[in-house]
Amino acid sequence: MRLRYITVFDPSRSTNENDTFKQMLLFHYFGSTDSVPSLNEKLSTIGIIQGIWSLTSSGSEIDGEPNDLEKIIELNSDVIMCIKIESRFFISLAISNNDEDRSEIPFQYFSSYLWLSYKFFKLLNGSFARFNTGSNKLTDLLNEFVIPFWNDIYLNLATITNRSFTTIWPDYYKRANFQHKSYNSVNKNIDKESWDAIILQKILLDKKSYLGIKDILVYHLPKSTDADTKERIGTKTYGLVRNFTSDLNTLPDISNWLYHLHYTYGEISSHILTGNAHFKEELQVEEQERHHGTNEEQEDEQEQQRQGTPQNHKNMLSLSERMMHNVTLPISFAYDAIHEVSTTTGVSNSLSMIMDYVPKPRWPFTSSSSNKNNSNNRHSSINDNANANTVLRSDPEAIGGTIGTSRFGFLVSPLNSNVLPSSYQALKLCLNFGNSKNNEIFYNCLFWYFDDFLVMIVCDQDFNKIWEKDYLKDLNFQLCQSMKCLNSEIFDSLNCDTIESFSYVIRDSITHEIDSSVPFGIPKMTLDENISTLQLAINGIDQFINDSSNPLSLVNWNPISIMGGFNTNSKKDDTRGSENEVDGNQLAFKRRYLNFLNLMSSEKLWDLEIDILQFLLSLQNSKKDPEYFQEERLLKLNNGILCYIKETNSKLIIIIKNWFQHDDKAKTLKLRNHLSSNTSKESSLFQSLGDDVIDWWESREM
Amino acid sequence: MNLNENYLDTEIPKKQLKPNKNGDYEGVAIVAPTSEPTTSVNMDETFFTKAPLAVTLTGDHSMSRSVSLNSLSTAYRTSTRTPSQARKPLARSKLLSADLTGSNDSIAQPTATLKRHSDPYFNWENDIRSRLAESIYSMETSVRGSEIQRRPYVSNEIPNVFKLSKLSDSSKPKDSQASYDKNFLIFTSAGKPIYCMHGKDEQIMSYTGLINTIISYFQVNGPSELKTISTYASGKRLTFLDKSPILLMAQSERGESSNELLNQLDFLYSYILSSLSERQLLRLFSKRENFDLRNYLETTDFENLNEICSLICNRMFPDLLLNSLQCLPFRHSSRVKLQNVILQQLDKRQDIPRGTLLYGLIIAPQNKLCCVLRPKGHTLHTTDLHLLFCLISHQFQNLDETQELWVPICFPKFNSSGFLYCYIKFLPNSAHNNEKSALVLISAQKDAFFSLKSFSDELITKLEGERLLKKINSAKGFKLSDIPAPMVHHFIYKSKQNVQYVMPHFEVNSNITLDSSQRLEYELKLKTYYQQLHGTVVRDNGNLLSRSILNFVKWSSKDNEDQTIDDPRMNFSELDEYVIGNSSFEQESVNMLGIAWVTPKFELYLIGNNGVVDKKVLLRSARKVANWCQKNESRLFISDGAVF
Repeated sequence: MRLRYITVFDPSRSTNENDTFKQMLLFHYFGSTDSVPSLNEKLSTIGIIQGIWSLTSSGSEIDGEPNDLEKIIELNSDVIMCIKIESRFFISLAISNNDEDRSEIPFQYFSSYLWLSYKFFKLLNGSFARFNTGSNKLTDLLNEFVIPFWNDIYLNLATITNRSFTTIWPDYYKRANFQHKSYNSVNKNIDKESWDAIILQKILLDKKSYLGIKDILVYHLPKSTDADTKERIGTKTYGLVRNFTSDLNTLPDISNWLYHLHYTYGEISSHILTGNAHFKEELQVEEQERHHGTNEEQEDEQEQQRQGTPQNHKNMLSLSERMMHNVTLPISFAYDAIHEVSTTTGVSNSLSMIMDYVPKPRWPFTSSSSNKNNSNNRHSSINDNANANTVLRSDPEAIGGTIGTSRFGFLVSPLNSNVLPSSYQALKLCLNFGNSKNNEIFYNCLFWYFDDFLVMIVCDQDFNKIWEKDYLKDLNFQLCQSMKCLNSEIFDSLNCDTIESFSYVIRDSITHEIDSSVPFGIPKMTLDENISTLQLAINGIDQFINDSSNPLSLVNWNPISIMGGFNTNSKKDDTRGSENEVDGNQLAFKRRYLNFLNLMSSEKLWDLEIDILQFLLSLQNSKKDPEYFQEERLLKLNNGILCYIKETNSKLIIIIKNWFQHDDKAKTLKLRNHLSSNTSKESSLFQSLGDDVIDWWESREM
Repeated sequence: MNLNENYLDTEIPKKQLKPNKNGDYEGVAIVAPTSEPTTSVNMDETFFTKAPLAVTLTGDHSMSRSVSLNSLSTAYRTSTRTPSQARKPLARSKLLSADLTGSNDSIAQPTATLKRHSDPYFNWENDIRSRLAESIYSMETSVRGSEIQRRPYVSNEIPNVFKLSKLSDSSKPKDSQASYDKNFLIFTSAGKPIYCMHGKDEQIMSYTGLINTIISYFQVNGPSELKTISTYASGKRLTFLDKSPILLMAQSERGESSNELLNQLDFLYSYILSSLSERQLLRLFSKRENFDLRNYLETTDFENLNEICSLICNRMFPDLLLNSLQCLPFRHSSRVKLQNVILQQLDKRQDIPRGTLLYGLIIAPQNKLCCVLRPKGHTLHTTDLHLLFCLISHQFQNLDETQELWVPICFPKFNSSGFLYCYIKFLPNSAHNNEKSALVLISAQKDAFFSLKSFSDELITKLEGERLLKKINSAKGFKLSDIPAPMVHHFIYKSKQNVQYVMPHFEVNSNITLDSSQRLEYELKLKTYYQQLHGTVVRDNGNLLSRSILNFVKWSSKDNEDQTIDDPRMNFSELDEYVIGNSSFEQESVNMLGIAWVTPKFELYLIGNNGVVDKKVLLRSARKVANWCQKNESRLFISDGAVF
């Protein structure tokens, strides 16, 4: 399975036969192509796609509105996917499967990512139609975003499959499911403020920020494996915990964008959020198509909201150097210094020196115990040094630190150094709030983390308070309080250490939410295991560091801050007390939320996903009249899969069980109840899934 | 009965739909799906609970009640009420009584109207009479049908849950070929149309031209073959089969997988080959690429293509889907005897050299294979047999038993470049119906007619003498009631080893004739059920999901709680409750349960009666069906045939 090319075109830009080239906005061949196809070949490809589009669209218009936005052209070994957006732009992706690859990825994953790539582009840059037809701005931005996006996928195809089969629904986003009782009953501890009340009252409704902060999105993004035990963590709790407005239409896109970043790069950091981190092959074989890439334009773009430099290698090296050299110099120096000192003189001796370079974090609410925390921090600095996971700031006033075993701090905020591009201070995202008059406008977005929680703060562009440090400190404090509550609420919940005997996916087409406990695949790229052929390249920085002038070649360069708690990152050193370790293990154990699928090997899991995708395709082919009827299916395969699928007009429910286990249980139950209940209970398809599923469903429905 | 169905689409006032504290919808009579496997309406509810309540109604409703006449015409009259009024007497009675207690003003006028028609008994009597008359016509054939044809409710009719285009849908313009949900197109590599199921020549010309360009683009720039173009939003799928110099295209919105469509296209192509043979086809096009094959094909060829297309699209024809043959159930001893008679007869005729007679078949009416004579180690491909069966049932059906045929047919899977010669003769049938069995003798030699004719004559006399002919003619297959499996509407059982399937007779209303539109509608409905069931157990490439699978599929009316209040179309408990006259009948809710059961030995597709929701009940019946079929395997299937 290999990506062949991606193209973006707008047929309306061409008016006569002589300017057909104008309709082509982007045409990129992946990998090293022996011969670069001529313009003519590219145009003919675009032409044939258009031809197919109009051939199959005739007569499919409903009330004059074309309703077909996606077409799949299947050839012998290739698949060409094409989507139509904003009623005149087409994006088309071709994949091929020449080498009878057994682990073939169904094209549904690719077509979903085709939609996602557009949605992410729109999120970062606004819609295509925003750009003048005359200028090449759109092409430039497409070059900057679409090519690196797909290049990451080209280099690591697992990117598109590692979030389970729920990725095939690009319009839906995953929600975090904590234990229902604790999550839903906000008033359980009346004496204690609930976490969302803190955000609502002390931040959103506070007079300082009222209406300035449009929304706060709280995500729970744990890693898929525990760093210590290498055991998988259930994905039930992965996703959006909640947001605070009901009219944020872009919510699925933001969520999927964050999940994508997290699972592509294995972590969320400032560089990743601002789009400056990408994969590259160690052997430089990249052949990049750039139609209009000049330095002047590049600089213009830098002033725009989208600050990432393009992912490129050979030809853009000088430019990158010039741009990123300045940007990253202070960090690099600081880091180099630490690294050099610690490697030459030993960690313990250089501690004071490190602390000179590393900005001292302030503890806004535990000032009395700052000493203790400082030592904690020192501790962590050392521990993290191996992973270069230092809390490293160019601004001594930066806010961040630890409470107990939790780390927190801003990832993207105005506290970041001014020398960094402006997207490090506030990321501008194009969002659509249903109630606002302008459909889509840009908002300043700040990112803050607390262990595995990522908080995104959406601010109006003219909300200037975020540029005040005191305000940010306050915000930091309130968020910390809130997350502390949330953390304790989660850990108070019971029964999450049992391994559930079933796995579920519930897709709600009204709210666009997905509840799922199907495990994600393990991302290939994590910090711990550096794959030989791929490396995470932070544009410019790695080039600078790998420069011959720099004696230290740093492969694992970690940017300013990476979200995540200690217990998932830095417990390899045995410096921590045994008591602590036990605590951590208990926490980890409690937080696992496993089901039986987590125990399966990833190959088997992948086979299962392919099977379920097949069930879903068959359901898609169902000709039932969706207006009046619903469909339920209960499949039992001889390999043990028991899969229940129900489609109603708003919900798609999938429940997966292993019927070997299920039958055993049922038999013992039957034997036990043999005397007591001779009357055979009526069994609908759902009821036959067993009592645990019914109990879960009922508790959920309440 | 000309009921206005518009009320189905109107909105319930939102205040009626507000859920109360218990989560129920206040004021809406929630129709619980019946768990009882029954096809009757809930009489208690409609008659005795609702009728007295209706009498106490006040306000606008009593106005309409007052004009009810002592006849069935009440239905017409009252159906003209505004939809929201007509819908829920029960619901409104609650609401209205609430109104009455709340405000005194609203009482004044209604009580006046009540007084005017204050004889509740009079109304009630009419009511019951009209209801009784109507109650026996409760069941609609199709819930979505535009023309309402009510049937007696005591029937085993199954509801239609699919979005099917009506066979005689006049709302769509016939001229545009995109308006059909299924179409087949055959054209040459040069873009000349050969055949198309729907559409006129001038439209197709441009269409084929475009398709041709696209196909050849991929051939040149790939080189790759265009297989499928799918549009997921509308479910439209174009599938291409490149058999240069002939290209075939299927267009479908019926949810068939591309593999299914490819099989259908292959069948059509096989038909063309059966008429021309591949060698002839290639020769024709090798001379001139833009040869117009339409001039070469006979009228009967186009008629046959039409028949095959309609068989594929609209009739119950599981042969292609299951890739197997239907077999005539025949007593095992008789079948053995029949085979022995044929073999003996063949032994007698030593003058027929080996190779003259390749195969012999006896084909019962409705394309059921009765007996096969074959050389050791050779069998005919199912596709070839399907083609032969189609020809016999369509083209040669008008022969009588005194006539005989000698036709060259190319069996494309046997040998696509040559012809075999078929001697076809219908067997005499004393019962004077139109159903005749046929004897087919297949030879590779052009001049074997007379020796085969004499063989056939002798064989027929012999069969008559042994009273086997009578047995063949009287073999009727089996009915569902022969099998002790309750709650089953219909099933198809395929024996994998024999590549044959059996299904019971259709037992719908006996007054439906074979070719009536109702029958066609029923067949299409049943076909769709099976197609969908089959689709749940196969992958896109046509392979089974797993070696053995047990799959239940349930189609049901939507849950009440699942409705979105904002969307008026979703208020569909309306469907369950038809308003006839003053009464409100509860339309039987749809609860169809189907089973697709695949094991290494057999495939069983089974549809339960409407209302069977308990999977255990149906599975028990499915087991019984499977056991019965296995027990009677020797009767139901031809295991070996007469081998020489």
